[in-house]
Parts: sequence; structure tokens; C-alpha cells
Amino acid sequence: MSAIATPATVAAAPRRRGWFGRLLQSPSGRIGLVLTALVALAALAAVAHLLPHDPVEQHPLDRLLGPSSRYWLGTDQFGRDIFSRCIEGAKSSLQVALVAVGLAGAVGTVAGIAAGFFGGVLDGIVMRIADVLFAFPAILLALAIVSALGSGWFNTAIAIAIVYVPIFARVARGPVLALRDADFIRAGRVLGFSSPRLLFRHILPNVAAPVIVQVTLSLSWAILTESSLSFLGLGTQPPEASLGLMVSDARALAADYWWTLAAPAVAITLAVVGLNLLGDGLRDALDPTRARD
Amino acid sequence: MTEPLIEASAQQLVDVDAVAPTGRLPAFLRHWLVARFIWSIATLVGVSILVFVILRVVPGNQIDAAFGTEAGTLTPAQHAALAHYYGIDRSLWSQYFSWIGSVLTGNLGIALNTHLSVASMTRSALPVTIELALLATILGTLAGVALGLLSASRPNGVRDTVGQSIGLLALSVPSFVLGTAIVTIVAAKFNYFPNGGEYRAPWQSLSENVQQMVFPALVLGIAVAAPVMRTTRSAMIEVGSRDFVRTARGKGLSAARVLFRHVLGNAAIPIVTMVGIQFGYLLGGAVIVEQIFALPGIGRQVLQAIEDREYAVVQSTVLVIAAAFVLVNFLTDLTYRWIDPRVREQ
Repeated sequence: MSAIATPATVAAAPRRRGWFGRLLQSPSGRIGLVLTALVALAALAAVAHLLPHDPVEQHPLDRLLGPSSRYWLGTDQFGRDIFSRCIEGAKSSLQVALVAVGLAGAVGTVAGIAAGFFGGVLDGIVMRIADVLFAFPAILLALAIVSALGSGWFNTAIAIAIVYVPIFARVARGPVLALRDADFIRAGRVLGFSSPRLLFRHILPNVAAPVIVQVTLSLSWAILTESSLSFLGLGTQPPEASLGLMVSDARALAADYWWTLAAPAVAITLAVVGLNLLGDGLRDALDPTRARD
Repeated sequence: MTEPLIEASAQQLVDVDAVAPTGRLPAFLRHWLVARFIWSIATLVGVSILVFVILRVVPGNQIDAAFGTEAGTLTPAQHAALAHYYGIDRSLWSQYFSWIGSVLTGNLGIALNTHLSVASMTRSALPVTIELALLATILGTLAGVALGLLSASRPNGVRDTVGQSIGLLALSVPSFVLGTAIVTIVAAKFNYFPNGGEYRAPWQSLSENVQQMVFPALVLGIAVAAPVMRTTRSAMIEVGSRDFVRTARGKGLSAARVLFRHVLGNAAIPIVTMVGIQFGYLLGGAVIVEQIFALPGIGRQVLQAIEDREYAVVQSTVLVIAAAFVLVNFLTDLTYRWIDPRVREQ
């Protein structure tokens, strides 16, 4: 592939040597990586039930206590441990985000690559569907889909996935269009390579970089959307812990018990900041033309 | 709602014609307008089909929605009668065309529990959202462009780090967190509740209107400022490194003149596009902030209808918002083409 590199492949292909090093060199990449790893570790701790308290267990005698050595971030109106609930909430947000972005990334990338590679009617259909999905403010479309499907974490993930499919389709289609007529692909055709071989061996590696960046940024948007929907009462349902629901509950409490709002607010912001920084860092690290910004 | 859209666009065409320097619309813009207009109509048809599919086909049917779990206890005859009443015993195509037929004649349907027409609800809700979106866009653009200029004035310097950090934070703190924080703090510390009472238009009571709008517009303005800041920064850095800027400096022009006339003039194109996108987005994306601050806007109308299981209201209102979004994007594209002379070359 690299033997007959065109300017397009040089721009899009991650150089094997050193992209992770470049990521670690940039401050945004470093901070993003650390924050994201922290959130991922916290989520794993929740999966493994390694939390100081059961996130749904109520302690009626310990209601609305401030942060202490027993309850690190205080307790809520039912005496539930806010620290454990934040971790559990981060886990459910991440779960929705991963499923949503996984689905959207898979469907959107395949559709975008196919549209770009085969062109013609297929391209027309895929891009018109994308146009229609782009004709809605994202949160409104997610809201409408969730209202139709019903609440719950999986339906929320499906709704977010539908909203993000066209983004991946566009991101993947661009480089494919640029590569379709590149010399090394033409050479492959002349040599009689099959379409699948051209697609998977020669085109897909060049699409990977923008898609990876998009996955990271979409995860942060998905966490925002999930917590927004839960805040509106349409996502994760009580008593399950969710950062959006915790903020919603805190509306009545935060004036006197600030930690009920501060804890979930900081948790969401840290997760989103981390993924945004990681996405920015990856974009620079994976794309040599943007490395000197 | 499609009809007013057509009128608005036709009106736009006439307006543009009137202000064109030559007195006539340039050919490139005329061709583009026709193509873009047809494309917008096609998109709207697709949007209406999607909205119909999401809200009519997926949730089972209106009977389940209205009766909930009790729908199972209905006799087959009752079920059939209700199906006929709601019009869902007809084929999907016939349902779709009867809905679109009514929408095109200005009938957006009726809310079952309040007996208000969706058209009249929309007429009172849309101005609230438009005012909110305008204020937020103005605030966000001012803050975002200022912050972007600050960051771009010395890329990778201290100012840039500060500017970028503020931009990142504005991008990452969700509106519902910021809105909730403001509502609680303002209510607790100043004993002031921004969401008491009905919406007052600026011409009814300017002071009350400002009181109602200032905090939601601030929250949404911050959300708008973040992408505007990032766009401004990268556009300024990109344009600032061009040869013509070096030439302008070499000619001995003042730094301010180079910055505002040469660099900002060229960087304006992506910034205008981003501002347009953000404004369009706010028409439906303001739903959470409208909910927190109890502003009776169009987003809240959707949310309320979802809570009340008024699917006809959800369906028509979402269509109205999408139509407005498509219209705003169309106007943004038009502005983009209008201010960028290079597009003529294509």
C-alpha cells in the first residue's frame, strides 16, 4: 500500500511508527488519555461491584449528609451514597454511549464506504437518507425516537445510534471518494483484485483514522445526549443510577445540599472533557497534515 | 407548514434580486438557488416520511398510547371502532397522504386533551423559541468570536491555552447542568425565580421579557460560543498564515487593519456558516433549556406532547421544527455563497 502512496493516502493513513508517541506528546492527548482511562476504570469498578456502597441501597438515617470519610461525596435524599451512584451512573452512560457509537460507527462506516466505493444509485440513496437525518436538531431526533421506542438504556442507545449513523457515513465516504480513483486502486483493478479485496485491504486502512477520531468525539456527544435524555426522564429510569437523573433530582436539593448537584455535574464534565481532548489529540496524532496546527 | 416555507423562500429570492448590485441575480446564484430549493423540498418530503414512520409505525398504535396497558382489555369490536376513530384502520399510505394533505392546507392536527389546534399552539410557541435562539446566537457569537480572536492572536501561547480551555469547558458542560445550577443558585441566593408566570413578549413588557430570557439565553449562548470559538480560532490561524496576509503586513498596513479587514474578512465565511448551523440547531435543540426555565417554546411543546402521549402533536411539531431547520440551513448556505466571491469560480 505504501509502495505507491498518493498524496491522499499520505494524508489519511496513520503512520504505524509513532502515532501513540505523538498522542502522548500533545498536552490534550495526554490529559484526554488519563481522564478517559480514569472514567473507563471507574466503569470497570462498577461492573465488578467494587464500589464503597451499593448504588441503590438506601440508608434512611444517613439522608443528605455532606462529604465525609464514610460517604466520600455525601448522600442523596434517600441516603444513597453519591460517589457510588456517580460511578454507577458513569458506567451506564458509558454503556449506552459504547453501544450507540458502536452501532452507528459500524452501520454508518459500512454505508459510507459502500456509497463512496460503488457510487451511483447506492451513493444517492445513502446520502439522501443522511440528508434527511441531518435535517433535525440531534437532540430532537433522539427525543422523538426514544418517545416512540420507549425509555430504557437500550432504546436510548438505538436512538442515539440512529442520530449518529449519517455522521459516520459522511466521515467514511469522504476519503473513499478521494481514494477511489487513486493510482494504487486503479493498479489493483488492472491486476484483477476483487472489490472486497480492494475495499478491505486497500481502502479500509485509509478510512480508519478519521473514523477512530469520530468514534472518540461521538462517545463524548453520546454521553451528553444520554444524560440529557435521562435528565428529561426519557433515558435511564429510576432507581437505576444515571448522571442525568441525579442532576434532575438535585434541582430540588442543590440550594441547600450543593454536593447533590456538584458530584454528577463534575462527573459528566470530566468524562466529556476527557473524550473531547482525546479526540482532538488523536486527530492531530493520526493525521500528519494537521500535526502542525 | 411547507407552504409558508415556499413563500418565505420565494420572498427571499425576490429580496436577493432587489439588493444584487447589478440589479439582477447573478446566474451562478440563480442556478444554485433553483437546485438548492428543489433539494430542500425533497429533503422535507423525506423528513415527513421519517417523522411519520417514527411516530406512527414504531409505537404500535394510538390505541395502546391512549389506553396503555388497558388496551389489552378492549373487545375486538371496541378495538376496531377505536381504530376507525383514529383513522389507523386505513393503509399507511392513505394515512400518510391524509396527514400531509392536512399539513399542506395549514391543518397540523388537534391536541386531544386540550382541544387546541397544533397550528395555534405552534404560533404562540415558535416566537418564544426564535427570540431565545436569536439572543443565544448573538451572545454566543460575540463571546465565541472574541475568545477565538484572543486564542488565535498567539497560537499555543498562554492566551491560546486559556481561550481553548474555556472553549473546551463550554463545549463539555451540558446545558442541563448549567441551567440547573443557575436556576438553583439564582433562586436560592437572590430569591428570584426566573420561571414564574407566563411568557411576555418584548413589546408587552420589556423588563419581564428580559428577566425571563436572560438566563436561558446565557446558558444556550455558552453552548453556541464553544463551536464558534473553535471555528474562529482555526479559521484565523489558517487565514493568518496565507501569503496575502504577509503581503498586507509588508505593505505597512496597521496590525488592526490587517487583522480585521484581511484576516477576519476571509475567516468570516466558516464563522458565518457555523453561526447559521448553531442558530438552526437551537430551534429544536433548546428543548432542555426551555424545560428547565419553563419557557413555553416549541421544544417544550414537543416534550409536553411526549409526556401526554399526544402523538399527533409530536408528529406535526417535529415536522415544523425540521422544516424551520432546513429553511435556516438554506438561508445559511445562501449567505455563505453571497459573501464568498470565490464560490462564483466553481
